[in-house]
Amino acid sequence: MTSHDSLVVALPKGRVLPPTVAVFKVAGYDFSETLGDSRKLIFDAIGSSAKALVIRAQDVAVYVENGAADVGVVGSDVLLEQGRDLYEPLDLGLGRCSMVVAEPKELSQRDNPNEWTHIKIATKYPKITQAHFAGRGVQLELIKLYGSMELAPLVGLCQRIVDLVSTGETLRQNGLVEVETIMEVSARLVVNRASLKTKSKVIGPLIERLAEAV
Amino acid sequence: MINTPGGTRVLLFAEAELKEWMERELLHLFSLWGYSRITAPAVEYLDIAGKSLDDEGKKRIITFGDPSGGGRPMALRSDVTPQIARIASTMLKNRPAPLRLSYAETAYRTAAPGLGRRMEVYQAGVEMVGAAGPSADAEIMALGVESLIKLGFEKKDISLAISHIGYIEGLMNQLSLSTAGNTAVRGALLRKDTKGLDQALQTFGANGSASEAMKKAPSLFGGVGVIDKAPIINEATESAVKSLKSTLKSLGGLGLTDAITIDLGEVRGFGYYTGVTFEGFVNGVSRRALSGGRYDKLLEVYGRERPAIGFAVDVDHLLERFFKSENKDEYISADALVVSGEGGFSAAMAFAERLREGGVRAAPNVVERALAEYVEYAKKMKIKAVLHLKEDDTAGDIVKAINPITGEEKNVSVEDVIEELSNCEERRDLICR
Repeated sequence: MTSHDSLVVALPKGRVLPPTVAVFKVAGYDFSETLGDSRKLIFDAIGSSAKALVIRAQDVAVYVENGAADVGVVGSDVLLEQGRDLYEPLDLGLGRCSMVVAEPKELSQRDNPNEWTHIKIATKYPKITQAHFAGRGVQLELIKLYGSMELAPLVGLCQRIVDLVSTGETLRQNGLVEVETIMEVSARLVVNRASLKTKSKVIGPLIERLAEAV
Repeated sequence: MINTPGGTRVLLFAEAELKEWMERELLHLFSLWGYSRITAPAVEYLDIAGKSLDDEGKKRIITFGDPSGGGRPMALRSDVTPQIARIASTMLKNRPAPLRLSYAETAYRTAAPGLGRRMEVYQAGVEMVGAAGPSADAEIMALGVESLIKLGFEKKDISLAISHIGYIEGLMNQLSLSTAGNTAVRGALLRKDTKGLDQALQTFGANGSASEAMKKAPSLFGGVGVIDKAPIINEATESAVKSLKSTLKSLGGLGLTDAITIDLGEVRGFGYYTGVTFEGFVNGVSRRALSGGRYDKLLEVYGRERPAIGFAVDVDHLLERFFKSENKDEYISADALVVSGEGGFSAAMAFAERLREGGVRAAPNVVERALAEYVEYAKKMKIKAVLHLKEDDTAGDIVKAINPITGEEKNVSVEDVIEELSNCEERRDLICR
């Protein structure tokens, strides 16, 4: 676990990093250095003893759950899929997108999702997909993929996919349309359970200031 | 592949000794505070155990049929407290209160996926039965802090996060949502998910002062001052806050104020908690060190209504702390290996016995090997000295001692060996830091 007085923040690599750094700056933690070309993995905040780890989004929750970082920023999709024991006190509203079910356009013209009883779906999010369709009473054959979901319907692996959509451009280019929304996704602030209790003097105000900043 | 089920662990050597040491220290402390030791069976009937389980507990209990009882469903003990409650309500029902009871047991639960989620949970704890009120609460919490001090943590590094389940229950009752609504609100509270909480309250039609107060609950953590920020909306919330305050006052009298943080929005814990609940944390350990709470309605489930409160130290969480980096499977065997000449096993045994009497862990040679091979063996096994007896020596006082690491030899007496090897510091460092 991290030491007594200094805060360790796990930040996700990728497109959510710049806006995340911006809100943390407003909240009093300047991690601008993480936006440079450096290949470092640990960065000191400018003007405070806090540190930032810049890691893959899927790993943020693991680091925070195990206390290698006190707080972190991670998408609500990852949180729900991984089901970790964490506090998630704040929706930062960054990296907004939707998790949807999509299928080829021509199929959608004669398809009614309300009548599904048994479907085959490819996704990166097996747990969320499973839970969603179990809740709807639809039987599911699940194909776990690690990327490029849109390819699956094109080559006949299966007709439907569950994936994240922000502008919808990727779906369109591959002849797919959204037929059902599973959840809205955005980046959350997550906090280690022990850190919230033992470092409440630092983390309480951080949550308040971030809430004002977003 | 020969393996053990996921979530179970073999503890080797130093780690096994450490677990035993922790349990022994804790039980000794509990006994000094006047608590009586209980051991209870690891197997119980599901219909009886099930009476004290909440939905989450039912999901995690490990069950099977009684092979000799017509398949009556049985379960592995998933939690010690309800067992103690049963014992207190049946076998001990006529004993005067308060009863102070202690245990060190393993609880078994289905292992959720992820790091550190165990199927076997080591717990050492106490239960005080038949005492309500702030003094009983304060004694239990003070003993919790003392337990962590006993295990070598410094008081300044220990904190107790205290909550009172009556506060949230008071809000929940006033909201009177559907079962699904309660589950959704509770789930959001568990994660302090303010957004999810807002959505759940809206979806399930919550409104009024209870709904507004509930929205504040996830932020009701921090120093003792937090209590005064908690909205009081009915009798139940008022009485919870009042009860918490009087417990804090008693803790203040014990000089524990600095160690305390408050979290009125915490709903973590067993379904049977009815009053104050608390978790202990140690600086530098990312998982909780102990947890406990008051359960005034659990005993009546088993026939004898009495208030009770207790806590358990999470021995397995702390094991990880002690073995953060190295020495996890440090082999702990003998300090001295006594090697005799041909046919001299009884002489080696007799010499070893004299060392044992002096507190040195000693083992004789039991297979025929050249001395050099024994020195090599001792080196690999981290035995500190090989003591070589002369062939005709049955109870000689002077033997040749070989240091397995340096190969250095010298003649020593039994007393020399005892002085050098008993109470071996190195071993104590490993186990008792």
